Amino acid sequence: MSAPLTGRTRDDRSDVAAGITVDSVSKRFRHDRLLVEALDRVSLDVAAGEFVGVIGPSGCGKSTLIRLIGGLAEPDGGSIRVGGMPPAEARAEKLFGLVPQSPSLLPWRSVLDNVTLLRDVGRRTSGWRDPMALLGQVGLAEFASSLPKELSGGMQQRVSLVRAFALGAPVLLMDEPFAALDEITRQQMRYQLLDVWEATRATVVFVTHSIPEAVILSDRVVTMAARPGRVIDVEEISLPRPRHEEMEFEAEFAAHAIGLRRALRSGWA
Amino acid sequence: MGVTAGIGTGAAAPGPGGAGESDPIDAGLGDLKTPARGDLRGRSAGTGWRGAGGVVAAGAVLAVLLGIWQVLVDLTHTPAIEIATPSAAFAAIADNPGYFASNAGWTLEEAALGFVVAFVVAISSAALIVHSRLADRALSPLITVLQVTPILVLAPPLVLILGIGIAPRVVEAALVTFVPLARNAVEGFGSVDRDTLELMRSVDATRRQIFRSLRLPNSAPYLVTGVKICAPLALIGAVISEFQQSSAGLGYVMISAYGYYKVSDVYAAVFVLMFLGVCAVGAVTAVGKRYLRWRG
Repeated sequence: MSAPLTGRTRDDRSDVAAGITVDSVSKRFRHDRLLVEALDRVSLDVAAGEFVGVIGPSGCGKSTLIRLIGGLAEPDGGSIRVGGMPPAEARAEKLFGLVPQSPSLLPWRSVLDNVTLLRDVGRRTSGWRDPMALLGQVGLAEFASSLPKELSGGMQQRVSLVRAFALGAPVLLMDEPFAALDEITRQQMRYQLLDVWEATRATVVFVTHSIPEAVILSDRVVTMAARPGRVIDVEEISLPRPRHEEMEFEAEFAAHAIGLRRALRSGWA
Repeated sequence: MGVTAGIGTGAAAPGPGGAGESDPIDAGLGDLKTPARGDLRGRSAGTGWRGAGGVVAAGAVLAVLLGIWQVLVDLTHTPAIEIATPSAAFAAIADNPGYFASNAGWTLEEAALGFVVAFVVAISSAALIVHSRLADRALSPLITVLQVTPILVLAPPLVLILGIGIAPRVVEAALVTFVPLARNAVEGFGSVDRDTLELMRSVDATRRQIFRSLRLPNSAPYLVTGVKICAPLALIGAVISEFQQSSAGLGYVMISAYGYYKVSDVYAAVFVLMFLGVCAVGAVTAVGKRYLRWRG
């Protein structure tokens, strides 16, 4: 049952792969009478199948951007299109897979039941990927029937990734998914994420605080600055794919990392 | 009045705010903490002998207290018309077990009916409150009003309103249990993880689906706490109402024994009532342990 599903999904995906267009989007929040300019005329184009990293200091509106693209909040100005649709419509079409900051596993459901939760809820009819195969790919096959409390933080976050990928959604929105993990676990997670993603080639927007993470994962890295939240730099990452850990020791990687640090610093001035 | 104060405490179970969110059971009544902590210790030890040891220890303390009571009454030669000894109370039960059992059955039935009514209304109002701001604004103040109403004092007017029969007893039990149940249900349905909620929304889940797969299971520990608080309260509510007007039930046993100066029967009925309450709490605790293994 699951094997043919996986096989079919790959073809489905190439049909539905969806790009994202963010056009001059603004968002304001009211904070105790204080008006905070979370996003000020942010524009961004993400091609179908592209992996875009978003870095920036706290409060630059990175998470807000993800929420707006995912149709979880409404912009105050500008427009967003996902696969040519407004976000709310794209959401109803089940175009999104979300990876929130916390693993957000339901503690009363087993690992496998957590992975299939969104399928049961979302009633997505096609495009499913075999959850067991994905769990195996991130080394969690034997934990399928465990409860979340029996897993380490890193393992829980891997389940969260698998949950998003299992949806077979053409657009994946990841909001600092590795932020709470220790540096060593974090390093491994990058390559596990790439490993799973390479097989799908979904469009990804990946928010992070980590420069090396952004460089090694992304096709392009968008740098944002705070107050008001805005895009100040977009850097193409020239490293070839598939990416691997050795690349982190290469001059090209270092050059990109330095470029991003400079861009970030220019945002403070 | 001591009982009224007890209800006030019960209604304050996992209150609004962070404490309730993190651990509903520990945030409950002070005296309910003991079994919860016992759970943890039992689990970390991996076996149940500590739990059994707890029962033995509690039984020993109870036996010592009853022994002191017995000895004090005997030594001071207090007349039986002023206070009964525990042995006299137990003897009264042993003399006429059928009488106490059938009257306990009446009280249990009234309490159970009232509890079920309160549970259904509390769950429904809590579901409305978490889904609609209007319902929240309309119903939440009412719950607070009910919370500060001395419901036990309402027992006589309830008889006037609802007449002779089981109705005023059921309503009294329901009123006494409603607030803690509603508060715990609101907290349980409402205190869901923000990220998880967004996750569900990201796949366009309906409110109904979010309620079924997220809010309802999330409320289970809160509801167990609520039921633990409310099962004994329902019994007390029923008995208080029986004081006003009844021809059966433990409250009736107490009132009529009091009229005939059968003090030992009054104490016997109290013991039976306490036994019912302990059994109810024990049953809920056992069910909670069985189905809430995912916690902690």
